[in-house]
Amino acid sequence: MKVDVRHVADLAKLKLTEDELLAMEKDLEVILAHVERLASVQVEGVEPTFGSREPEKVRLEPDEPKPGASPGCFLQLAPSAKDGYYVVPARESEGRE
Amino acid sequence: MELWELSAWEISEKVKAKEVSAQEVLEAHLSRIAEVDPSICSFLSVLEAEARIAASRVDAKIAGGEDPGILAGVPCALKDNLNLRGTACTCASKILDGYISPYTATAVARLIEQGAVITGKTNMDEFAMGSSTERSAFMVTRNPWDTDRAPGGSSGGSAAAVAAGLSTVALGSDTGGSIRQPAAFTGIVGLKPTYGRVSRYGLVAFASSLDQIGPFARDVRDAALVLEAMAGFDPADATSSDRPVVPWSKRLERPVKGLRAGVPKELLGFGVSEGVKSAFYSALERLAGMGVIVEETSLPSLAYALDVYYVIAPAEASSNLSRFDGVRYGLSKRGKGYLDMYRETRGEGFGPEVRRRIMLGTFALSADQYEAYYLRAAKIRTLIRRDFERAFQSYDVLLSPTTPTVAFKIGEESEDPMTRYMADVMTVSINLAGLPAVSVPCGFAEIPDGAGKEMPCGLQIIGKPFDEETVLAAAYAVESFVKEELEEKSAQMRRNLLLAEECEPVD
Repeated sequence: MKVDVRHVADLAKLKLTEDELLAMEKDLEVILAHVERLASVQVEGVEPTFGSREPEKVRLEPDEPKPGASPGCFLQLAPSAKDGYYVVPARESEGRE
Repeated sequence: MELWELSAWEISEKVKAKEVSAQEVLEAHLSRIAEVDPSICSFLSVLEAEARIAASRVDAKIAGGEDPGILAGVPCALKDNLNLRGTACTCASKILDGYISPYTATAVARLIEQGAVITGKTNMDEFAMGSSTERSAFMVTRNPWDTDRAPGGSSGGSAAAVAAGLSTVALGSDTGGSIRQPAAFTGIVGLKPTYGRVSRYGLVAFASSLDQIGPFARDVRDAALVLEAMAGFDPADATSSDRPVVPWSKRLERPVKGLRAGVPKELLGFGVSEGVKSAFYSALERLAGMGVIVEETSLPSLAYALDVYYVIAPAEASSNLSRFDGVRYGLSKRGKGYLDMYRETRGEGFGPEVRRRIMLGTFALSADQYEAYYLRAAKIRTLIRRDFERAFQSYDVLLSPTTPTVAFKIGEESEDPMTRYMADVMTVSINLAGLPAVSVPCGFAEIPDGAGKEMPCGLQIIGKPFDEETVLAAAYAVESFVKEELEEKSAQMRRNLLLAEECEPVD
């Protein structure tokens, strides 16, 4: 199976060098060649399993605020923050934050 | 006997009886870490100051007549993907550079409530992706039985620390075998509880439908004790179970006579080495001698488990790891725009194995490939679960070797990723089905061309969902017939460690 690694790296938001892309292409081909055995398994009418607990046993808590760490406690971990907000580079490449 | 040689239940009893203080137990371990860890490299950080405060709190509770808990004064190390408030949590990755946990994982908080003293954070494969602990961004941990060999992974630091006598017990996480395989490689007990038995709140997610936190210990009773302390419902983890916590450590002596044990032939078909096979079959004979009914059985879909795992786990990882984007914590490479920030931060911060799995998972979830890969794998996962359900109609436990071989040499892992992933072939199906399983030492195997040198082997005992009680009782029976040989050889191994060479950090 040929993989368009440049496209996948774009989807994954990973910057890879040309050499890394080449190595990645080879690795993914080796793995997918192995995994392709799954195509031979009869799965018609079989429901997929997405989790290890039955969905009805997964309990969601009421969506209500509870006491916890303050926003400031999380913001101080940020590479860049100002006035209680995270600072990120602008959408366009205008060089401003 | 030195204080660092005692088991958790012995330490807890002695500390409560004031025969020894939690502070003395801790100091013995800190000295041992300073002496031995330079040649093992199991700890990424040693929390000396924090541990001293914790130990003095335990002693103060006892002096004040309060109950200090079932792990009173027991030193415990944490795999570095478990959050402990106010300390670094690196996941052995450069991308978490500078991150300090703002909260504590539920499992860890419960151990502390029960008197455990957290001594430090241990090395691992980056984001728990690997089977050797060579894929840490910081250093390579060595196997205390032979420092030229890997301790297994991904929780290799925790396993090596317990085996070397640097920590009485430790926590790891198991997504495809990351507790059981290193336990087998280092001659100790490693338990992966049933999915939902232990809260995952505060464990950095790798593959959320497969991850479980579990204990490492030098005997089965200690593993049971740690499970008792941390299991149980937690509203902060929607998948945690409200099944009652069992006093497992007091139910180990349950007779195994009449226990029905199946041996899935598929798990023995994956290139199991002669030495491992011989230790495994000899353990089966001993179990049969104790009245366990051992039979060969078949779970045909297990032949596909590794392939299913290497679609589902990377798919979940690619989604979970999208949170590392350079905005909220850790490394941040600021490029021209925000998209450059994502790409550059992630490209530089993640190591090669993590990038490979993110790519594989992104591919399997992409619009064109979703049905052929992710959805198909999820359906075969159903077949694997059904095969286990069927097997457990006839058997109480299933048995296999934990690993196909004994610990391999550092640097000997194959360049071919799929060959490397074969190290997980005996363990991944258990995570796909959410079952409990333990690895317990079952003997030793000679290393080929090793001039008679031996390495430990593990026996994997797989149980029905939430039946840790039977799994641990069976493990206790196996332990009874290896205990003498294991204790003698382990004591010798720990003495030899003082002669080992110091290891070097990764470039």
